[in-house]
Amino acid sequence: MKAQAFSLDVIVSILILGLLIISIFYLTNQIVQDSYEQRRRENNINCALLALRILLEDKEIGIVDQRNLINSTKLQNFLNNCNNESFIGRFGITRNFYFRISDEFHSPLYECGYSIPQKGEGLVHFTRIGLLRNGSREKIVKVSLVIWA
Amino acid sequence: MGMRGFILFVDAIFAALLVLTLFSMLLSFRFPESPQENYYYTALSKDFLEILVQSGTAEELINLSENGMEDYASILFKEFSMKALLPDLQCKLLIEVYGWNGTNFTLKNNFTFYYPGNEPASTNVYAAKKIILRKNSSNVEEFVVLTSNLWSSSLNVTMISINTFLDEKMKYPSINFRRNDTVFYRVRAKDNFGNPVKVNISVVILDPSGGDSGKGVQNVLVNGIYQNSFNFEENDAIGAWKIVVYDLSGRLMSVKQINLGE
Repeated sequence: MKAQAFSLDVIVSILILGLLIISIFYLTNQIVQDSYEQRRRENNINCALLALRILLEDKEIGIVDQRNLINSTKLQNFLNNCNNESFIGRFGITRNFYFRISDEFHSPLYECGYSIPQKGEGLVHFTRIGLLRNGSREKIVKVSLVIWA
Repeated sequence: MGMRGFILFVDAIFAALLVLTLFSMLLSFRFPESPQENYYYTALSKDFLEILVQSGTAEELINLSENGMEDYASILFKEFSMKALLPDLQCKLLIEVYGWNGTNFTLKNNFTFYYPGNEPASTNVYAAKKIILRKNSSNVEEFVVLTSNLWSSSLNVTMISINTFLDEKMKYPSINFRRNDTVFYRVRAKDNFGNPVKVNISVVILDPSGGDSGKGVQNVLVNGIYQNSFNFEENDAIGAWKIVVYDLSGRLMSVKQINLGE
């Protein structure tokens, strides 16, 4: 009788132990994945913010004549070289990206880069505003950049 | 201590580990990094002031206000803000004009404008300043301090994306459709940091003439994601249609253009 009770206790204890091990393994795995995803997203955020800063604030490398004033020739040069990795690297873009300039009604005027996947890993999207100068005309535009892994 | 005691001891150790893991998981849940958020919105606030000055709108606002036409100035500011600001942002602009009185610079005038018309409700207000020189109507030099305060109005929803598909399972994205086709669309609401957010929206389907086709939906909750569909009829007009998303206050959040061909 005593031997029976002992073996039942052991079986229950081993079952609980097994469940605990599985739970800890699952939770640890989840934490590692979340933390990895969070780090990747933060890197993508930094990449997008830096690229938009260079594009809209740097007169030498960017697409502007002065802060936020977009030069259509520089913009065209950027669009023409959008698939050139070393050119895009100047703006700090080292990941998959989609670039778009849209008008005040959010209709796209210019775009380049890759099509945005349905489930982009660490996908982030930032938009800044600028004035697009074309000859003597100026138009308020929204400059968007989407980055994912 | 027998076998049972040993196993119970190991169980207790693992239970303690589980509790610790759960706590660490709770503690590891982090909100978006505030330096990035601060940087982004402050940069937007500066962008807003830059294009306000470069487009000549700042000068117009000052001229109209100084000539007693503050109502016109207010309308001009709202039109400009509607074009320039992202859909979830609100703004307060303070203009201070300083003139030289012979001995020092003194504040001559100050004007305040709001878009869309309220004081900030949010505690997160992102400020930027810009100083410009101008000549007034008497050709006397003055300097002007422009201060913009931006804040988010709708639970940090800054990205509403619309995707359209040919099939119900939303595997085949497309922006080109034909008559009698069903357009399956998906609306996603995220903050700038990619986190899904809840927001109430209305979806309006505009025909090529810009009229409401009545195929949309009113006041639906997007809990990060919302999916629906509509049909193109036999007699629908060929051309560029638009799926437009508004928030509950009627402000434009996003637009997707699709084409209806023969």
